[in-house]
Amino acid sequence: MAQEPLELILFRQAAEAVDTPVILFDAKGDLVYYNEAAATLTGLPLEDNVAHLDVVDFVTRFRPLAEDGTEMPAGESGLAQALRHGRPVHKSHLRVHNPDGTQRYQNSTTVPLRGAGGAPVGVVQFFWTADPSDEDGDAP
Amino acid sequence: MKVRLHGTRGSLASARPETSRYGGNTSCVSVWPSGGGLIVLDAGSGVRRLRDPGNLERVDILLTHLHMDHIVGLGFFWALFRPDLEVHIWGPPSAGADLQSRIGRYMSPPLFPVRLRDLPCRLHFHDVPRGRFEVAGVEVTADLVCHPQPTLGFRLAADGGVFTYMPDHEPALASGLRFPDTPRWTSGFDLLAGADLAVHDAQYDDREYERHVGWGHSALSHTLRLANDAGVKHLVTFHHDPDHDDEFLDELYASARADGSWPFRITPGSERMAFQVGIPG
Repeated sequence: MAQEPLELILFRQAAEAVDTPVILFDAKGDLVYYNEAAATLTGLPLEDNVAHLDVVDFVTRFRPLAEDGTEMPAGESGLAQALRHGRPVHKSHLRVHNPDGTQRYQNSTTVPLRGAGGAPVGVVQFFWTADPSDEDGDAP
Repeated sequence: MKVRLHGTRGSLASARPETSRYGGNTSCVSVWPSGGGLIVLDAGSGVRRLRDPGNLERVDILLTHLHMDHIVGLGFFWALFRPDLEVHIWGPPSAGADLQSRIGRYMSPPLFPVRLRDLPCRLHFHDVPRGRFEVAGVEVTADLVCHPQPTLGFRLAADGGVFTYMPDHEPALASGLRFPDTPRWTSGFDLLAGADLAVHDAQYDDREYERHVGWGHSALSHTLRLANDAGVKHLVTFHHDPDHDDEFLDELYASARADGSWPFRITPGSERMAFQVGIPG
């Protein structure tokens, strides 16, 4: 397999060092890495390269809900929007499903990554469980 | 193509009797394709040792990055003072300022008395594209490598041979505790893969590296492992620390050879060395 862009290599290394859940997708929208904190929160297996998912597969796995309680199309997720439009997206108090079927509230910030010269190299998403009583969505 | 080393020292020139065998000039390598032309890789103080053959119409200077030890020789390079010569300077792109402006920060008062606009040659500046491009009939592949500020490695393919130049590189930083990691997640791997000749950073020994994590350079042991994993055929180590005199380097490389039998040639780079890559012209 061809080497990943340096930007993704370095982000992966940084994600390894933090307890904040972090996932990385490449410019095509394929999942390339998630750290231990992300694996714990999502139920994805920790071994590298096991979860062969793209953005649609990944989002569908957690069945996020829109404000009216219906399932949100994968294309409206922060990940898909950041990939499509090349702009950061923040989502507060999004209801998602846990692996065991229960639900939780989640905040996420998705940032498109651009390499030297402006070429897209992927997106990085930071996400965390939100406190339903925290209206600003800033509580860790 | 012929590859010649003119400066193999890193960070700061280190000219003293104790460094005379390996040399004290900073990074500069020249590449002479069999079809003609000249490619200069970095313009450290070693560029002063590159002799004018007198028959060139164009010179291409490929800069891996703009740290001073890699550009300090620009203002003293004969090619820039030849009005009959076309000189193309290539460097890593930046979102902040174009290459001419960035180099102009050094080549302008008060840091240097001669401005870029005063140079007699026909000067052109280019951002290095990420990927493949052609210079002097050589297919060049460029990519970012792990080093502070945007830094490139170059892979040159011509005359049936491949030469990789990666003078400043810290692959272990990008891989952390996993180093050596899989090829997919190793900075610089694709540029090095299967190279006939590779010039690569090996500034520190293991003890020194522990005190310089994040400085952008390799321990020799990292370089050897990376070259081994990438299937390099002949490794020339480079960017020797300015404090390492000839005796230190002799002992360092004697230990490295004694510690393991590597399936490739290892040459500690020194000024005046020359190598043939691919079929001679």
